[in-house]
Amino acid sequence: MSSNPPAQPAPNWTEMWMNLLLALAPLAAGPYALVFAPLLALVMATIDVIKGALAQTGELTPEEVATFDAWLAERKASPEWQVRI
Amino acid sequence: MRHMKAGIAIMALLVAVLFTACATVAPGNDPVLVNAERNLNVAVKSLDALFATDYENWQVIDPAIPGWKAAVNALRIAAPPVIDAADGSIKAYRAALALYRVDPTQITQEQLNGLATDLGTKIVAAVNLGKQAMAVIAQWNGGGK
Repeated sequence: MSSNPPAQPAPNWTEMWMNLLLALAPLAAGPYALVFAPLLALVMATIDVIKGALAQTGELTPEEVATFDAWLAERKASPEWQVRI
Repeated sequence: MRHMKAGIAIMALLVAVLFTACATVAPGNDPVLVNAERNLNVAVKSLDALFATDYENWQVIDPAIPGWKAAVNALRIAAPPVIDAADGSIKAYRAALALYRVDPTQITQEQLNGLATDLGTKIVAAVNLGKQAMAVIAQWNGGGK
């Protein structure tokens, strides 16, 4: 009789990158700033990329969503959309 | 000329309605959300085409098609709250999905599924209104063009 192995929790990539950022932060402010500051900037940029990819959940970008909402509001307020007497 | 433009726009919408369900979803994009965005867009464009056609041509259409005005006005009353509900549901699902992807401990899969079900219901209501708009507009042949 076999038993299933315990399920491994999925890695949280954002949390891992944040931990790396926190580990690098004190070094980037100290005497090794010349080396660690660019590395810190690279980690921060990577986090931004991850967050951006996670926010892109649908087909429309946030800008396209805003454009559609503005267009819809304009159309709903237009005379074409009002009940014709 | 205006009639011909309306006819071309209606045909383009019909083609869009036919192909919305067949289009692919890019990797990383959520199929529920992508299909909801596409279907709401087509439904709103269908309703807008009907309202614009009526606004520009009602003097010609009203005498020719009995019940046209009542049908269009009924959709003018019914559409805005249904569209707003579907749009709001899309926003709620999009926000929840982003949260789930960033930190799955903050929202459960069951909660996300519940929002997806709600989204599906509201999108179907919007799509049905869009189909009604297309059925109404199909009664008019664009003034013979």
